[in-house]
Order: sequence, then structure tokens, then C-alpha cells
Amino acid sequence: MSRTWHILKREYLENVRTKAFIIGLVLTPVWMGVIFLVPRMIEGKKYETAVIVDATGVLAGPVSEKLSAIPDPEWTILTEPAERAWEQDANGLSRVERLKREAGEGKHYLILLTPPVLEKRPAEVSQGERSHGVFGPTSGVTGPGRVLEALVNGIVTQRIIEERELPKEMASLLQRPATRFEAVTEKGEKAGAVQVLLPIIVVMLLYMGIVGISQMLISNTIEEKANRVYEVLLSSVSPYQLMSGKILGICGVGLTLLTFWSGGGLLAATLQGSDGLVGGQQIGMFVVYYLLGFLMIASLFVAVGSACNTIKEAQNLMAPLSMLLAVPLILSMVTLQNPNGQLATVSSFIPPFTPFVMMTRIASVPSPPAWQIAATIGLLAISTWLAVRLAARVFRVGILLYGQPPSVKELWRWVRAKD
Amino acid sequence: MSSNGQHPAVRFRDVVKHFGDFTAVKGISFEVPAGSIFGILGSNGAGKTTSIRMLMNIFKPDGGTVEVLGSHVSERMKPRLGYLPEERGLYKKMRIEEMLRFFGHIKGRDDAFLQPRIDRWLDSVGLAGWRKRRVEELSKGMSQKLQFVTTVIHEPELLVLDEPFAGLDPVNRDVLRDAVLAMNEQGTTIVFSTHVMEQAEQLCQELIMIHHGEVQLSGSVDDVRRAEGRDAAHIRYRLHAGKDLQGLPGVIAVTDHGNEAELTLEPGTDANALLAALLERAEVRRFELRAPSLHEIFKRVAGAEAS
Repeated sequence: MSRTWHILKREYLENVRTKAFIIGLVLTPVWMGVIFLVPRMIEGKKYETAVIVDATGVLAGPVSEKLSAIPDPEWTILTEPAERAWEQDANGLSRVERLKREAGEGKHYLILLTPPVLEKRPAEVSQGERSHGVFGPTSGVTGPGRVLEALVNGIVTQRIIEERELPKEMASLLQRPATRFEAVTEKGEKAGAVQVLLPIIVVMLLYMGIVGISQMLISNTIEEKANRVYEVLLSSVSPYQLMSGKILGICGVGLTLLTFWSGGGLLAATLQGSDGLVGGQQIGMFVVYYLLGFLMIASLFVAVGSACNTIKEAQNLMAPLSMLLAVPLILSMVTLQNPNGQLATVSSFIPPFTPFVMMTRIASVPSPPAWQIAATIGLLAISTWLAVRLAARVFRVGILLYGQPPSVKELWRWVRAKD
Repeated sequence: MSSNGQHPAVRFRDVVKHFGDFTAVKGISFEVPAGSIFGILGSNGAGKTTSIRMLMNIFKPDGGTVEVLGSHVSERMKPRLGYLPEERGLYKKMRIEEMLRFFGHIKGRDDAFLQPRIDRWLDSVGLAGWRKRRVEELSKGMSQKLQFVTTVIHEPELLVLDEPFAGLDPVNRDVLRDAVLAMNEQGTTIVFSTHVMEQAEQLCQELIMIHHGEVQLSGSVDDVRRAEGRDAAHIRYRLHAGKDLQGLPGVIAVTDHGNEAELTLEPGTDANALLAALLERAEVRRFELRAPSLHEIFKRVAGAEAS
């Protein structure tokens, strides 16, 4: 153990004392902040155009009045006369048809108001009638399109109330928003942006800590192999001690980064009043999933590094592994939508994905059932143990072998070779 | 037990090592007496490094047994051994003193033990002023000396050197040789491999010569040379114009170095007749009869195997 400890300590210090480490430690959070904030700052105020064709003669006024009161995006409002808008020109196209096509090109939003808008649902408009609606480009689906839709709906309702002479009291009851969606924390308090972002931040940290940091082991193993230092070390330690020391040393580097970043993040959140963001239990589980996930992925990387002599050779061997490691990011995004859904639950039990999917679920609400936490940790621990054993067998042979990189078949022979 | 009542420092018994279909070591046996300087001789690919790696527990033998310092070879023995592999390597980014301490630590030594020895060794190899510098700043000769210090800083009982003199200039070769001899005087057993026979001849008390994974000869240098049963004439000469050394009476083989040559003789060759024949062809500045050198013996062993 003490020999492993000295290898670990050396590996840790060598990597923590570099300028690159210090720069990464400080600059990564700064960089993340820049990525989040700068687009918003650059984007600034937005401008949109709305063209109103009003065949009802009563709606255009209130619509443009409401629309011009919206500060962001700022609307430029054009009203087109409705009288001849449906007449076809020489090319067989009406003005309305042209405006609709231009809306599709993103030139403007088209608000088409015809008498049926005051009487029927859009689906009930018969074939001969002039239909109504709000038209715009596909990019408007989640943004301005929804705003216009709600705005027009409100004005139409208002008009109907006035036409039917409904009592004022009833009118205001009908027009108020009856409910409003609100995101809350587990304590029932109003959730801010931090709570919504938490699972994403947790997974990003975990991913950087596991996949990002353990990749250091590939280049570092190849470099030390090229320096021919391994045979010297093997006169003092066993290959297993050497490999464990290296992996645990780099694991310490990752833990240092994560502690610094998440500690800083929690401190900032607390100062902003979002204290109690994560509990001790969640931190504990993060550490467990991080350690097991790191050991599994890192031992695979160290095995690849030991079998290769150049980074280029390693990249060839890494290709399938890299693809595998892109999957958990996608899975996490899906898990965010439905933390206890079938996909999330099933992928929690696939060991290379377990840490990422489970931590997304643990940081989300509602938390996964306790038995799943226990079972995934158990399964992950067993697979990690297997991965380490497998890697040790490749490492043992690989670090003393120069020349041609081994084929996958050759690697399998190393794994199966007796001591 | 060897004759002086001590365990041999190393004992190989019928040791075999395969790599796939290739058998690198084919059942070799030998003993290294405690406190001796022992040479493992052989050409490139003879099985020297493989044997040494088995001795260091880096490779496991496929057959036979390897004992070191009286016990079966194991990880537990490593702190008592020092090993300089043929392919040298250091941590390039580490500072020299820090690295020596690291290599001492993984051999189980503490700072109190290491510090005075680090000071003494750096002093004796002329690196005292470099202790805070990084390894990558050293010249090749300096890093080779540092490499040797990392091998011995924990004071091993058995020092194993694989081709220790390869790539050294004459000055550093002497520094290294003196260091090795001094350690041997203090009781450290030295095992080293080489394919340069002159070094073995100068340093070894006992040796084995291996070829294609088998022991061909073993014993003391004198034993090996005497067992060859033939003499050789070592000459220093300058040829007369148009003459050569071919077809001299009683000469089986000639190893011509240009200014000097070694003539392997048939048993019972008349040395005076040979000298007379030589004087007709060349100006002879030195003529000496002695047992054949290890170099000649080695060539015979390797050559016989090849043919």
C-alpha cells in the first residue's frame, strides 16, 4: 500500500503543480460563465414585424395597440387593406397568399383576421369561407408566434364580451389567468434558475471530472512509456501497484478540481440566497458515483495508453470508446425531461452510463427510489472491479512492449494470459 | 548452500520462458555466489534481458524456479534489489533531489535514511549543484549517472545491471565501474549482463555465457578460458607491403583488429615457428601467448550455434 501511495502522491503532485492545471482550475468556471452570459449580452434587443389584414374591421386597432406596448421584441406594425386582399392577380396569387409565403420566409408575422374569428374555432371554418390565423416562420413556434397567438386570443375574447354585453364582473373573471405554473423546490419554496440548472451543472461537472480528467491518463501513460521509466519502476513496484497509483493520483486531481469548482459554485449560490441547494446526502452520492465511474473509465484509458506508443495509435483504439462516452450526455438530456421514465431507469443500470444518468436523476425532482440507488451502486462497483482487473492485465504486458500496437485480438490474448 | 555457507544471491533452476510460440529461455540453471560480481554474457537476443526480468520478478517464468537472496522471487524482495534496465528512463519533469527521494521511498526507505545518501551520491558523481534542477535539463552523461544513483540510493543487497556500460563515454564508464567495484567491496552482489566481452573479462569473478536461451559456458573467467583447451597468440604488428596473416602455421582462426590480432592456435603449435613465420610477413612489436579471450570463445560459441 505504501508503495502505491508514493506513486499516487508523485502522480498527483506532478499534475497539480503544472501551470495548465492552475489555469484550468481558474479559467474553466470563467469560461462557463462567458458561454452563458455573452450570447445574452450580444443578442440585446430584438425587432419583429407584424402585418395585420383585418376583414372584421374592428380588431386591427386593439391588436396593434397591444402589440406596440410590448417592449421586447419591439414590433413594427403594418396594416394592409382587406378589401382586395383575396383577389387573385395575373399570376393567380392573392395578396394574402403572398403575405403568407413571405411570413414563411421569415420577413414578418402575418395576423389574418376574418369574420369567422369572432364565431368559430379555426377547425370549424368551412371551405368557402376566408380563414383566419397567425402565421410566421418555424423559428416562431416557441417565441413570438406564441405571444401573438395569446395576444389575439385575448382581444377576440374581449370583443366577444363587448358584443354580447356580458356583465363586467363576469368578463373580468373570464379574462383573468386562472392559474400560473410555478417551479418549486423540495421544500416547497419557489425555484430559481439555479434549481432548474442544477441537474445540468451536476452532470457537466461529473462528465468533466470523469471523462475529461481520465483522458489525461492516455497521454501521460504514453509519454512515460516513451521515457522508458516503467521498467525502472517495476524493479520497485508491481504493475498493479503502478497502475493503481497512477489512476488514484489522477483521480485526486479530478477531485481537487471538482471540490474547488462545486465549492465555489455552492458558495456563490449561498451568497445569492439559494442556500440548501444540495444536501449532504446528494454530495455523498456524487462522490460515490464519481469515484466508481472514474475508476472504471480511467482504467480503460490507462489500458489503451499502455498498449500504444503514440497518441495517434491511441486515437485509433479510442474511437469506439469515445463514441460510447458520448452516449451518457445524450441520455442525461433525455433524463432531465423525465427523471423516472423507462429510458432513464433502464440506462441507470448500464454501468458506463450509471453515474451520469443517476446523478441527473438525483439532482432532479422527484428523486429515484432508494433501492435503485443501492442497486446501481452495487452493479457499478462490480463492473468497475472487473474493468480494473481487465485493465491491469493489459497494462502489465503493454508497458514493456514497444513496436506495433496490438490488435483487439492480441489485447484479448493479454487479458486471458496467466500470470 | 554454496561453499562459504551462505545462500547464493541468485539461483536459477531449469528456468523456461515462452513468448507465444517463441521460447526465449530454454531451461537455464546457474548460481550467483553472494558477494560476487557475476556476468551474464551473450549476443543480442540471447535471452539475457528476459532472464534478468525474471530475476526482478517483472516476468514470471513458465517453468523452473528463481530464487533471490535465499527466497523465492517475489514482490517482497524488490526493496532489497537494485535494477538498472537496459532501456533507461527517468521522470523528465521532476527535480533531481525530489526524484531520488521518490525512488528511495518506493523501495521503502524514509527521508532520514535517504537524505545523507542523496547528498553523498550527488557529490560523488558531480551533480551536487544540480539537485534543484529538472531531469530534462541534464546532459546525456549526467542523466546516465543520475540513473545509476536512482538504482543504488536505497543500498540494495543485490545490484542487477542490464548492459550498464552501453552508450557511456570512457570517462563515465570508469566512474560507473569504480562505483560498482566500491559497492561490491562493501558486500553488494553485482549481476550484470553485457555483450562486450572485454568488460566481462575485466570485472567478473564468475560468468555464464548464454546463446539462444541456453547456457553454453559457466564458471570463473579463468575456468572458462582454460576449459577452452587452446591457446592464442596476441600480437601487435605492422604488415610488410603485400603480406597478410592468412595461412600461418598452426593458426585455426584470426581475429584481426588492424594493429592487433588474436590468433587461435591448434593444440601443440610451436610458438617459435609461428613467430618466425610472422616476422617474415610483418614487423612484430608484441607477441604474447595466453588463453583465448572471452571474445574469441564467445565467437566460437555463437558461431557454432549459427552453423
